[in-house]
Order: sequence, then structure tokens, then C-alpha cells
Amino acid sequence: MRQFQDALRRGAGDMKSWIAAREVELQRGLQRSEQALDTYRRGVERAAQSAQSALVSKAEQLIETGASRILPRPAARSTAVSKPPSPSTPTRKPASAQPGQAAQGWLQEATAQTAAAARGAQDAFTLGLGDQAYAGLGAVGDVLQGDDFGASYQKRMAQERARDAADAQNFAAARTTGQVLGVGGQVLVTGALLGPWGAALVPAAQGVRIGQTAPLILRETAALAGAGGAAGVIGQAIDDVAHWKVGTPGDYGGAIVGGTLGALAAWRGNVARAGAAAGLTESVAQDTLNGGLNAQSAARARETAAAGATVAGLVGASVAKHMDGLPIKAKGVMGERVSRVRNFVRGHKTGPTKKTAHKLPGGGHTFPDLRTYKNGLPQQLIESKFGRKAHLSPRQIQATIELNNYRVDHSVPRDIGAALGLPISVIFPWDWATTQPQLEPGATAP
Amino acid sequence: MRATLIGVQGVELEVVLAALGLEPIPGAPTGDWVDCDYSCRTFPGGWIVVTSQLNLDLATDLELAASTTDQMAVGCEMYSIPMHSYAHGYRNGQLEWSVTHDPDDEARPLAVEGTLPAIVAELRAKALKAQADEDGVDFAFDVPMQLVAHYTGFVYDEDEATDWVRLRATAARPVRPERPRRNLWWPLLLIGLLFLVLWRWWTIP
Repeated sequence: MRQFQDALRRGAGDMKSWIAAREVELQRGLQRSEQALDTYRRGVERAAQSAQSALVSKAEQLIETGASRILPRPAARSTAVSKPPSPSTPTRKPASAQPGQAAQGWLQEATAQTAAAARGAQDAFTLGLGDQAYAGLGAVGDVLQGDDFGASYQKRMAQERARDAADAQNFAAARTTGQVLGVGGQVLVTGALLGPWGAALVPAAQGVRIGQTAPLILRETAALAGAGGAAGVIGQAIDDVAHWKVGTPGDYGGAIVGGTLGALAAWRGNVARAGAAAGLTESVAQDTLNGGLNAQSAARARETAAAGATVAGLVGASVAKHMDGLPIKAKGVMGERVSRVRNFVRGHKTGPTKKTAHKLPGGGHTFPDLRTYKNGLPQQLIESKFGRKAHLSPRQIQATIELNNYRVDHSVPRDIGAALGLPISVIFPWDWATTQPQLEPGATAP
Repeated sequence: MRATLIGVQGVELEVVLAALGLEPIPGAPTGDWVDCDYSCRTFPGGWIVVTSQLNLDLATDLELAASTTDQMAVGCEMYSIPMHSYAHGYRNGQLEWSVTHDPDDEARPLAVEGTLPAIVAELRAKALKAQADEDGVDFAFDVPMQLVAHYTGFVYDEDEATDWVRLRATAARPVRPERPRRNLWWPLLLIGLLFLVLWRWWTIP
């Protein structure tokens, strides 16, 4: 029994020594592999550096020969980079005094800024789903090569998040600009899709002005823009009163910009789009004027655009529906009132309501709805129209051809909807819909 | 422009005017048909045409006028701003047909009801064909006025007569005050703004 136990102990000692010997061999093999990998990596880096040098050399030639008067001197970029580098992004070396290295740094800088802006735009445009889609597609590719989907997806999402964080840290301005542009694109695309759908759902919001309608003159455009700007100021003032504070010049400037642009957009037709444009521009303009765009600017712009579109769209559609259902007489009164407003803005006085016949050179009479006067002299004969499907009669068509002072004013129900919906959307307090805090006055972009 | 045209056949002018509560303005010169709130003139075939820009109501006044004759009475009303027009035809005081043009009703640009005379179908077909050929021109709008012109001879946008008699309402004319205008927009807007401001006060953190 004892002999057997001794033999067993000797066998176990032999096994241990055999295992130790194999471990030593394995470590040596790993070291040799690492050395080989290191050698290979250095070779690849040398090749990449030589290729990059050749590329930069070519770029330098182009820059120096073609655009040397436009591009800044290389030395001027030496103070451009001041933020700490991130481990997950390429380290941006300070530019040296040598032109080649400076141009190389400029190219790398420009490329990195552009890429960060593009990633920011993509994130904003896709509401952050772009990263997930990208990681998911990559993970599917990894699965085809035998990897686990879940692990690969998590790994790639972590990479995307790290890259976004690094962009936010190192290329904050570029990323924020990209996000704002992405939000703008998102609003445009959404408006292009939802605008016609919304109009299809609410027939009262439809209606195309007849071709002979007199276009806005400069005074009318200026009055429209001024009314939009005034609505913006009123909205900001209400916001100030509600918060018991005094808004900054940037707040009021942004409100004027947003209101003005919204009013001009509303004349084009879709009040929901105009509300979105007003909200977007007001938010961006306020942040810009109050110290610069920041990380929350894009999200805030998106939220205010969505709220603006919602309020303006709902109010505008409701009012348009009401106007479309007015009795015939009331529609007549409304059309005449719109023409009177236009006359006032144009600086003309409107004559009495009673209609008189005007003989046409080609025979027959027309009965203009209004006549305008300036300094006591007759100016224009106004044919007012109100309604989605109103057109000119054959006699009125004849008048547009034969009379030089015959003006057609055509307003549609959605005009009245826009005239009420847009100001309400501009005046409306946004805070209920926004989760992003407004940039504090005097703050600067990170 | 809003205008109402009423034509009555086979009856004395005084009878029609009395039914409508109108009388000639003593000493007033004659003029064209839009010179006065109410005007009237006789036409060949025993037709009397009464016009007004603002104050005749086709639904009630045409019925009153039609009740004075055992022949035809026709009338139309036009609203050129929303481009809405309609006409009615009476015989022996009974409504025979109606034609309505509503620009918003694309399926039926000229809705017709009743026992239609041949001229209605003819004018309707002509207008719809012209409208189909020339997009953007409302030929159907004129059909109700063309019907009145067909019967009475009065073409409202070609008439150059200056012997229209100026009329005024008598005390007997039934007063039909228009419904008081319900201008609710401004109160609603003010209430809405007040609500928003109060809401903001309430939700201040």
C-alpha cells in the first residue's frame, strides 16, 4: 500500500513538472508572437507614415500653388487646439513652424471637425438611432464571421458612445453645429412629409391662390415681417412676465428673428411648417445671440420646432376649418376685409362699399368690390376673392386682360388660420414642451 | 359683389313693388341698375325686374313677388367674392326649379332640383364643357344669372340702360334684420392669452 502511494506521488510530481515545462514553452511562444506582431505593426506604421507623407506632400503642393493666398499661414494655427485630447480620438499635435507639418495638421483638423459635425448631424437627424443602426449592422457582419451578436452589438455601441463623448469633448462646436443642421434637416423632411398629409386630413387647410392674384409688394412683405417680429417680441415679453425676469437683448433678438421668419414662411401656405421654422430659428438665434450654441441647443431647437408646429398647426387648422364653414355672406365680408387691410398696408384709401359698374373696353361691365384712392385720385379696382375653390368669372378674366389697374386679391381660409395660428405659436410659452434648459445669458459654448 | 335680381312676368309694376314693400323715390332721376339700393325696370314680354345690391333676400322676396302672378317669376342671387350663385324659378306661385353653384362642391358645380326647363340643361352643359376646357375660369358661376337673362332679357354685366327707376323701402316692407354678428374671436383670443399667462404663473417652479 505504501509502495503504491509513493508511486502515485512520484507520478503526480512528474505531471506537475510536465505542466510547468509546457507553461514555460507557451509563454516563450507568446513572447515570440508578440515580438512578431510588434515588428509587423511597426512595418505597417512606417508604410502608413510614408503614404501619408506622400499624400500630404501632394496636398501641400496643391495648397501652396493654388490656394496659398486664401488659406491661413501655418503658424497661425499654432493656438487653434487647446482642449485636452481623448484616448479614443486621434491626438491633435500642435502645429510646428514647418509648412509641411502645419498643412498636415490643418488637413487632419479639418477632417476631424467635419467628421465630428457629420456624426452630430446624423445623431440629431436620426434622434440617436443612427448609432444603434450602425452598431446593429456591424454586429450582423460580425455574426457572419462567427461572433456573438449581443456581445458584438454591445461592444460596437460602446465604441459609438465613446466616439460621441470624445466628439463632444474635443469638437464641441463642430458637433453642435452638425446637430443643429441635423435638426434643421429633420424638421424640413418631417415638414415635407407631414405638411401634405396634414392638409389632406383637413380640407379647409387646402386651397391654392388663383394665378391672377396680386403678389405682395415690398411694403406688404415688410409689414408681414414686422408683424411676425412684433409677435415674437410680445411672446418674449409674456415669457418675461411669466418668469418675472427681464429677457436679454439676445432673447428679444432671437424672438424677432423667429417671428419674422415664421411670418414670411406662413404666407407660403402651411402654418405648421411656419410654426416649426419659427420655433427652430427662434431657439437657435437666441442661443447664438446669448453666447453661442451649446450641447443642448440642437435638442432644444428640435423641441421648440415640434411645439411650434403642433400649436400653429392645431390653431391654424381649427381656424381655417371655421372660416371655411362660414356662411356665404360672411365669406364675402371676410374677403373684402382682407382687401381693405392690403389697401391700408399699400398706403391706399378704400372707397365706399357700394359697388359701381366699370365699363370694359372689349364690351360689358365688371363690378369691382373695392376702389382705391391716393391723394384723392383713383388708383385700383379691386376684385376680392375668398375661398378654397374661388376662381374668376369669364368677365373678370376679361377685366384682368383689358385693365391695367385691376387687382385681384384672393385669400383662402388657411390664410386666416395662419394669421392667428402663427402668432399664437410664437407667443405660446414653450417651457411645457421643452426639457432642455435655455442657455444662460453670457455663457459660452463648451 | 353681392346682388339680387328678381323678375316677374304678367303683373303690374305697382303690384310687385307693393308686395316687396318698395316704392319709387319721388323726384329721383333714373340711372343704371347699380345706382341705388333698389332699382326696377320693365322689359319686353311683360317682365318687371327689381334689383338690389344689399337688401333683397331671394328666398323670401322672390316668393312674395311670385305670389303676385299666375305666370313666371325667376330670380337669382350672386356673391362674387366666394363665387357662389343660385337661381329659382316659380310658376303660378309655386317653386319649379332651383340651380345652385357652389365652388367648393367639386362633385356638383351646378346642383339642380325640380322640374327643369330645357334651357337649364343647355346652359349647364355649355358651362361645364367650357369649364373643363379652360381650367381656372368659373363659367358655372354665371349660369344662374344667364337663366334670369334668358327669361327677362336683363343681362346684368352687359346692361347699359340708364332708365332704371330708383326705389326705396316703404314702411310696409318687412324688416329682416340680419342676425347680430357674433364676433367671438377677440374675446376667445383674450381668454386664451389670459389662460396661458395664468398657466405659466401656476407652473413657475
